[in-house]
Amino acid sequence: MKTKNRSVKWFGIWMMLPGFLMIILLKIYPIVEGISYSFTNRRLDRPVNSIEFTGLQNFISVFQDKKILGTVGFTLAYAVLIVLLSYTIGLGLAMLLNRDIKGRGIYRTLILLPWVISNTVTAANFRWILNDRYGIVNRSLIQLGIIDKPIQFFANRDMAKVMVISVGIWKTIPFMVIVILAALQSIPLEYYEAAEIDGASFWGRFRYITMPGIKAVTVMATTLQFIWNFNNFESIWLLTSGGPSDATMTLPVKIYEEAFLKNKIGYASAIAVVVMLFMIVFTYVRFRISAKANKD
Amino acid sequence: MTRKRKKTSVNILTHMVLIAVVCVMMLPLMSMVGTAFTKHDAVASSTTIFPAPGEWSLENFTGVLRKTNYGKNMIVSAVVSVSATILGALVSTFSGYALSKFKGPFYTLNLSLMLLMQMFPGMLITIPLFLMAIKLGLVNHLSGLILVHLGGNLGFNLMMMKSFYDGTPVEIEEAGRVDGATNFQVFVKLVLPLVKPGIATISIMVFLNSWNEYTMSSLLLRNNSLQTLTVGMTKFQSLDIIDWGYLMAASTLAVIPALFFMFFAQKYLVQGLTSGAIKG
Repeated sequence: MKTKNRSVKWFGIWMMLPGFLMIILLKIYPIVEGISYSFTNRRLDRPVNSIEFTGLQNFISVFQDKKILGTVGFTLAYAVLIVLLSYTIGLGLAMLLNRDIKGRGIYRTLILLPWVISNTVTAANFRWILNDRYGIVNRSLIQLGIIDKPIQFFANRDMAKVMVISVGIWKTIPFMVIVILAALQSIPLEYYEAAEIDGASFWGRFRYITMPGIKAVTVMATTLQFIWNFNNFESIWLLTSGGPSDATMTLPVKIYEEAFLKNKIGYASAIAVVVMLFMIVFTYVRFRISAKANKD
Repeated sequence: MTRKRKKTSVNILTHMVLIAVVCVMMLPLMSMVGTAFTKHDAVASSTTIFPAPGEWSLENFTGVLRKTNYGKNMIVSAVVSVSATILGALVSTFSGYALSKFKGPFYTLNLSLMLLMQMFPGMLITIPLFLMAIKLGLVNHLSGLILVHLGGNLGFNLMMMKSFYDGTPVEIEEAGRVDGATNFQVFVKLVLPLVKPGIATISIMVFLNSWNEYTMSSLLLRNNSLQTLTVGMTKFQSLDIIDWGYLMAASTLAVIPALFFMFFAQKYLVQGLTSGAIKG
């Protein structure tokens, strides 16, 4: 019996091995490397043997960078606005889809589509419909007489900000709708029936049954989407590359630019490490708050 | 009676709101398909979402496939995505089982490493992965990108498979062992058939993520004839004059796999989407 147990034990280790090796090689090792770059003056355009250890110099430069505050501000605004608005719209749509109506499946499929479309296609599509000369949006607005000159959706600073956030919302709504819908369907119908008998209004039912019923999913979905959108690189890079004149610059785009366009690997890694520390603190605090709320 | 009538009117209102929202959300995609099927010369002058009756044409599709590298790009993407999918499914089918059924410090370590990984910003890993690929001579080799895509989906795949294995009963395995089956036989013959939906879910997710990935693809494959479709597509935009007809035809071709899975395997897609958020 003992040999049998030992063979089972080894079987588990063998089964785990491919995953373990991949985690080490493709995740842990690169991250450790990346963190180590942040303490050096490593550059893409200089030979590896010229790298020197520079201590905290890169981090000091990050905090002395005058433009970084604006970038941090827009990254936060970008992530927070996308989460808030896509959650609100997603909740509304999920509640409509939770009703017993015909064609629910078709609506759900169509609403889900933006989520499976790649960032490259999304960016191309939005740049096409919002194009100043040929785009369907500008053409329709001019034909209807609402505007006389085409709107410069991506050349105007404020407009470009609105546009990258709108595209982010478009992309995030499917996730919100699906997870909220799943949570709504897990609320027992009897709760609503009982509330109706008691004469509770729509808002009363919404506040005291619906919202508490989807609370766990709300915390999870908003936290995840905040982290994902905060770290999103492709969507903004492909739409505006951070422009015009850095108006839509976010931290991931900035890191990419410093690393791959300005060749400053060390400096770019330092920004990435600061972002990582922020993410760890954020996640910790977020879950402490929700754990505390659950206890109360 | 009034109650019923109230319900119908609320339902009509629900449909109206949903149709309006869906139309707005679908506008970019409808415009993409409409433009793709418009005659190449008529794209710039077209004023409607879908082409006028005489302006329907497949010119953009034939043009983008014959005159550009896009056909090759699609083959490269297919090879990379299929390879990453097969490898990803293999690794997580094995290791997900170990994570679910075995206890001990080794497995706890793996689990905590995976959770930790989810918190790291993508850019922190993009830079070292690129430098590692240079060092190992994997730039302009498909194998480098396949490995990177495998790594990118690893955490999700393992957690997903683990949760599927968590749902399989231990009694089956015990019964199999009593009957004298080896550990591997128990795993392949008794447990694997129960987690087929899990394998389908992660396969679809890895395939789509790999097919849609842009950043690492653009960094690792720098040769024009050996690029993925996401990178090939941006080539139509980097020119001074964007060929919108070609770009929209290329985009339409790029979304075919996603549409296919959405209409024929939506159950698995939704599973992949929600599991992360609901199980935490």
